[in-house]
Amino acid sequence: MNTSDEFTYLEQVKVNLKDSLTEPDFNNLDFSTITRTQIDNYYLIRIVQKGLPLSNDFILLKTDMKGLILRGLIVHIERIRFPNDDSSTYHGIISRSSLNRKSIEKSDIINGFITPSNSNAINQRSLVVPSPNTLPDVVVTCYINRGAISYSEWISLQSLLGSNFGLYNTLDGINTSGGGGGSSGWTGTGGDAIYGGGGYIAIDYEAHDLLAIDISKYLKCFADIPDNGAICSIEILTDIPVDKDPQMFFNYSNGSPGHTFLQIKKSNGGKSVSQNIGFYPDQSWKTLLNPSPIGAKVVDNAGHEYNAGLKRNVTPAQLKGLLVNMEYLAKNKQYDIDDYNCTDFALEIFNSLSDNKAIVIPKYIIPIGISPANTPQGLYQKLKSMKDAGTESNNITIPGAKGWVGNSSGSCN
Amino acid sequence: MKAFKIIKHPVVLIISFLMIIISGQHLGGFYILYILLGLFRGALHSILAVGGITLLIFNYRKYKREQIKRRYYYINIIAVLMLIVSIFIFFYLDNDRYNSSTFYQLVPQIMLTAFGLLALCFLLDNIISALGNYKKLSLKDNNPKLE
Repeated sequence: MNTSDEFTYLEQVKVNLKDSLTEPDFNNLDFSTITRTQIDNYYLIRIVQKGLPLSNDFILLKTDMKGLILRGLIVHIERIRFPNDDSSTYHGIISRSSLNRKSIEKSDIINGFITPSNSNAINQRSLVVPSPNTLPDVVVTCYINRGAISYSEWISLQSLLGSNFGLYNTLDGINTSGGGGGSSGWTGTGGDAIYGGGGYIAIDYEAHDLLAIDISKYLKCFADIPDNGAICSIEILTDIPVDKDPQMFFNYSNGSPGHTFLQIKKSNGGKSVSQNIGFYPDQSWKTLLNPSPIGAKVVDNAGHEYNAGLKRNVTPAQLKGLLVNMEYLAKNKQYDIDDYNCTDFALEIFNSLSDNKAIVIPKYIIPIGISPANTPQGLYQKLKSMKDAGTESNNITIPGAKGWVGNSSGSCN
Repeated sequence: MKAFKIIKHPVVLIISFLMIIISGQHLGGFYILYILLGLFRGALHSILAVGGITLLIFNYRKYKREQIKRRYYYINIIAVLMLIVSIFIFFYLDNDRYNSSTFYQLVPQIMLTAFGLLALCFLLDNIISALGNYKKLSLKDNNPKLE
């Protein structure tokens, strides 16, 4: 973005902010201190309030490339240190309000995870058990500088907006390391400036041993939300094996055929549940040694990468049917790489909606497979063709390169 | 003694290498399958594996009846290192940790450990032999009877 574009962008942001903020809040902003991070085709910017440190108070905006505000929050965050905590543990409180301060949400940060506010939770932090296989919202990293160990606090700005995609910015806007994002330094007229302190680090979620979950406990969370007035949805998501080449249906360097999984959401008022469920073989090394079906497990796919997704809204009654079907299949189906893999599982549940809009995808014979099979690549191709043809295109998400789903709510007792 | 001769035999090493069991998230199997899958696409781990196996077999056949020279041991050392680097590269370049279950499941762990021990024995034996008296009549003098 050249200087002229930077100026236009900032002016657009200011105009939008003036309409969104109260007058005192707008006048209290320090436009000489802005950090900006570019992610795909949008920006996340933080604007500090006069006299307050960026690490504690800021306006967080998600804008398009021209400065139109897509989402905004006023954020206050504070770290709380307990006597026995080590330097890498982050506890604190965070409040997020809309730009006009009409709605305020206060939460605790426990072991780096933002959790609903509970007067006892911050003092009973050991009771909070984050959903496994998820990334924390705030992390503390250490680095060695000339022999001394220093610590940096990093925050996932996207988690404040609802999803943690594994990209973290420093809380104080400095000491950023490489990884992408951020604009070059620019000084506009009147002292306004956009600084390049928006570089982020990417923390990839590393799936070690994929832990099996108790599907009943995961699905029980949905029953805890009242049906009357609830908004429910199911999304089928595909992660193709080679991100840079959608034509490849198999990754020959690591043997991955990709993955397909489901995201189910239900919300009502201030309560919401989101679960990401995937179907896997229990012991995958048996898949190529044994032509017969083998034992299966379901896994929490929170934070999983995806390349395309199709979302459909469902009624609470439909959701109940889907969940019953999912629980039955998860407990009774065996895994077969050709005949019943992750894509088959997800498609069977997704297509069980009785709305005559079943998805049928092209089948391929994967290397070492015996018969044509449903694959993540086939699903990707189907969704891509649907989007190109304008069929349910508003419900289909195809991120530029790849995206990541958010956290799961975890199990409920 | 006879068992030790079997353990340090290059053919045994090759078989244990090819039978390492890889366990991915959805797919798994013997390492030979991953070598073949990557070979025609120029995957580094495949090239190293094939190169190491070729050297071992070539070396073994050449010196079966010829007088062993020091370079026999050097070639063996290079070959086994290529095999070790091949399996290391395979996991190191796996950015998504797709096959990390190999290190958490019992049967793949056993097969990987078996190769590791055999490779270590083979490597040490050849290093010691290379540093020691290499004037032996031929491999046939020390060749274990496998047939």
